Amino acid sequence: MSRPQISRRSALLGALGALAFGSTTAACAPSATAPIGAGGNGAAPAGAAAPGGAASASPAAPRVPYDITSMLMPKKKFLGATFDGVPQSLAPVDAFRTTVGKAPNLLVYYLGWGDEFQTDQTQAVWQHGMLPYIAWEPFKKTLAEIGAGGEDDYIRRTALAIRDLNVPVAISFGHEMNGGWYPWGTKDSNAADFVTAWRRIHDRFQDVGCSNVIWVWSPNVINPVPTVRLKPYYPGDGYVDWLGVIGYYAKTGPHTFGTLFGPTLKEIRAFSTKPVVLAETASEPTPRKPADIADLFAGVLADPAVLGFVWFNLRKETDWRVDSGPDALAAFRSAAADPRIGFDVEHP
Amino acid sequence: MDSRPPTTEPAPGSWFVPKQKQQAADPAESAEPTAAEPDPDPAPSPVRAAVRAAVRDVVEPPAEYENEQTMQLRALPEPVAEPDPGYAFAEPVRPGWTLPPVADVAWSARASRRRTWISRGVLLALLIVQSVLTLRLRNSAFEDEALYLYAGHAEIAQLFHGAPDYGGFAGYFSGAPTLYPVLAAAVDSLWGLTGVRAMSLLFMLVANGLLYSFTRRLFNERAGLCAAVLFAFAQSTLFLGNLATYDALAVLLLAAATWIVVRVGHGHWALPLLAAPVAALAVGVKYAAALYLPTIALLLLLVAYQRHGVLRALLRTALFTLGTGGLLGAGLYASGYMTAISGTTTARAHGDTPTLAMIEDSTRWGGLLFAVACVGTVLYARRARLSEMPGWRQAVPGARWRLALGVLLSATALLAPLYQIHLSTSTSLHKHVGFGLLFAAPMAGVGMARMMGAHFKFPQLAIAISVIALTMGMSQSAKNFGIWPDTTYLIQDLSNKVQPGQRWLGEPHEGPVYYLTDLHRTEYQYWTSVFYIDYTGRKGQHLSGVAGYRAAIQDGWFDGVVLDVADGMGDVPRAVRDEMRTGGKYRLSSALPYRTSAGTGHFEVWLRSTPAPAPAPAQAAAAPAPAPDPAQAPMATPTPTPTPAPTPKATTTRKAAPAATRR
Repeated sequence: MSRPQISRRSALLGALGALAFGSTTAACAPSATAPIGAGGNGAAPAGAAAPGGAASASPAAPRVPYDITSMLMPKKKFLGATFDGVPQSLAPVDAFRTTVGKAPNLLVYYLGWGDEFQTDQTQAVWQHGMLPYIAWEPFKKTLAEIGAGGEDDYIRRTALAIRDLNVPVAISFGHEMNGGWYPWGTKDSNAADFVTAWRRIHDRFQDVGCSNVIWVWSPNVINPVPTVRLKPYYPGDGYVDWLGVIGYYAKTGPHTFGTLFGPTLKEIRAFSTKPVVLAETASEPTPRKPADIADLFAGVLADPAVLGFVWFNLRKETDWRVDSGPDALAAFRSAAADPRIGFDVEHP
Repeated sequence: MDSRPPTTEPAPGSWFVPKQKQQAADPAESAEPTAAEPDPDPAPSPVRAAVRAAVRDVVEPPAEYENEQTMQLRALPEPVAEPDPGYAFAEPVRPGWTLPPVADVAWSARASRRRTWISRGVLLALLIVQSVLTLRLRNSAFEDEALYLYAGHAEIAQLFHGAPDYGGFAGYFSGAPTLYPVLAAAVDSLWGLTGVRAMSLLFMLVANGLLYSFTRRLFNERAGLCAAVLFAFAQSTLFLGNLATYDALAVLLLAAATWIVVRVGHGHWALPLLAAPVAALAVGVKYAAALYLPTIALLLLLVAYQRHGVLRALLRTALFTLGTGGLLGAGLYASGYMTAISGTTTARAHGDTPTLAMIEDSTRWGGLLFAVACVGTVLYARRARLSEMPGWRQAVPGARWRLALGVLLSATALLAPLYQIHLSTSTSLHKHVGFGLLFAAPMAGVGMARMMGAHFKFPQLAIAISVIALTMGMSQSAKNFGIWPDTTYLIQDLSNKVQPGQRWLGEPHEGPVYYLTDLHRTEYQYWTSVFYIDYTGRKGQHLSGVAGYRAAIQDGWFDGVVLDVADGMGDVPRAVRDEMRTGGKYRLSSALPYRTSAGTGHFEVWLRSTPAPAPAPAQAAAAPAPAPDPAQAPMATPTPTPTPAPTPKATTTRKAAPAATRR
């Protein structure tokens, strides 16, 4: 039996063709582990070391970061709230929506200094239609320690987690710094340390390429601490996006928008024109509560520089909740129904 | 034993075979083994026959049973004898098989069509491999690519449409902006960056083809192919083949000039003039190509000397030199590029790269080819040819000529590294190494062919060198092509933020300008680099350098700023970033992390802050808004149109920017 004769030229051409086809196919399908520069991402494992030695939750995946520019000055007002048990459970949020008739679009919750940032919880808050607002409380470290750089690894780790989450996150570090009731306040610390620590945190976030944070400088209203000036505590317009003033309608003391927030805003306006968020507010359960609620909404709606408020919906010290009484709840439902209150945070 | 009654019909799918066929199929019982499979045991075993007879006698089956058939099914065939486990095999003798008569001379020095076509086929395969290895490299436009492309578009607008010359490209480009950039921009208009890069690949493929051709003419096909292999695998060849800069065209023109002098060196005295315009064009395309003109001239001298002697060789060399020099002089006189040539090439600013680091880099990128070229030079000087064919001692060049040729070509590989070591600058060294390798490659081809020995007796070393060259070339080219950050996501982000007419400060700015101009979002005139600024502030003083940038940021002169934040940030970008952080006039809009083959970093896009809305009247009464910042006035002007005096003004044309010089 004779084999078919293949000429050498045909064999050569066939071999060349196979070579060309094979190499082209191999080259046109670069794997993800191909070198950077050859169509791949290199062989960087997850959790590759980030600048400064902090481990990232994931390697820096190239992408367009979430643009929070439109969030900084939304056309409508934030309807914010905070509850007991959030963000581990978002059931209180749903209950609030049922009670009030409108869902909050900003949720405040607290992160103790040294605690790891919980990516999944923040993601759930965002997917629930709310801007995550983290009140970062430096209980475990002093402002001087943070400002000196001793906490840089923790700061970078948190920054990388927030960067890789890639959703807007508002951060208020050391709220009510002008009061004496927290360790980072006037009794145990000072304004210079506060500013140094703030700037250090802010700069470390920028240094790892985190641009999806809204920085909220959050003093208490000056009424209970009239001798403490605010300006020394202000890190500067380059370090702050919102001014998060905290003030409550109490049984005693100022109980109108102008008297409660006016003096503080006046003092702040002397050194900053940044927009304002009432970062914590509520009213004590008194017969005046429905009027306080109406006054709060009216004050927020009247001032274009005030972006909204956060209702402290907890039973703590007293019953600050909106449904502490039927009149208060009715007032809140009525005021929150205003179309200028609340908006879709993904399309501010 | 099977207790089932035997059947005469085979079950479907069973391996039952009728008796007659079974007998015919059994080689042990087949009378005539097939030709295809010779019977290993042609004679039936007597023991086996005796056993079968005994069984047949003892157990006499009923008539309806087919004992033989059962035996056929149950008795295993005898095992085939194991071959001798030793190493001596008897050559099977095949009928009709005869060795062809051995030719008297199997290897001939004479050219033949067969040898030509086989060599060209191998070269073609090699060029395909080179293409694939080149196209494997991927990244967004390198800053030089982007710069040359938008400069080319600007030159086209100026040359053909009368647009004003704004960029001053002729002042700092290291090649004539009217040559390659214009060609590249024309191709870019048709096929984009991919098309321009494909043109570079074509240039490098043709250059390699020319390298093969002139190496073949100087030596032989085998040396030509070996040279082409080593050149094709060099990282510089792969890198330049996918880079839209004038390097690939310059390499091609140098290769063409070299090919011409080798081709016509033996011919008429006037023919070397053909190489002069090509060599002059190479220098015009990239001024640094002039470094290799002496090599081409001396090569012409050596080639011509072989046939014509010293005087006539000198005549041809002088003619080529004068022709090239005359063309270059005329071009220089007409263009006035002397300043740029001085600033970018001949009197380039010195850097601070350590000599040892540059030697290491040069060795890594071109050391293998250079070492093989040195081996080739030594072996070639010692012996002109491998003794593969009779009569090889006739008509070979002399030893001194051979040594001169080897030293000339091999030493040319050192020119660029030595010059850059002299300047202490490593800028583009990985590209410039490749220019010298083009000339050293022929000697490397000779070296590799000699290592294989006569009749390819020792291919191992050549294979090892080729594999090392391939792996090094692949990894080094990928690393060098991934050394700059991919701007794909940055451009995507900027395309939503850059508005027509806005002023931007950019580091990098070349990529954004190139890509966003293509999207009609901006023009290069609206972008300022971090290399030069002449800013006239509100007080009327001229500020440049860091002070100028700080003042411009404080005044909110730019609508947006792009920064590349990574290790080794320059003074200006760092100062700009600090000013924006502390000043509050700009806010970080987006940070885009990236990874390169050298590390990590991120781009930052800063936008001028939008002022907060004025407080409500009631609030305003209680808390009057601060007086408007006078510096806010120009911020409200989104176009370059000057606002009423006093008006900050920025002149951002690069006048003398050594750090920004492109090579």
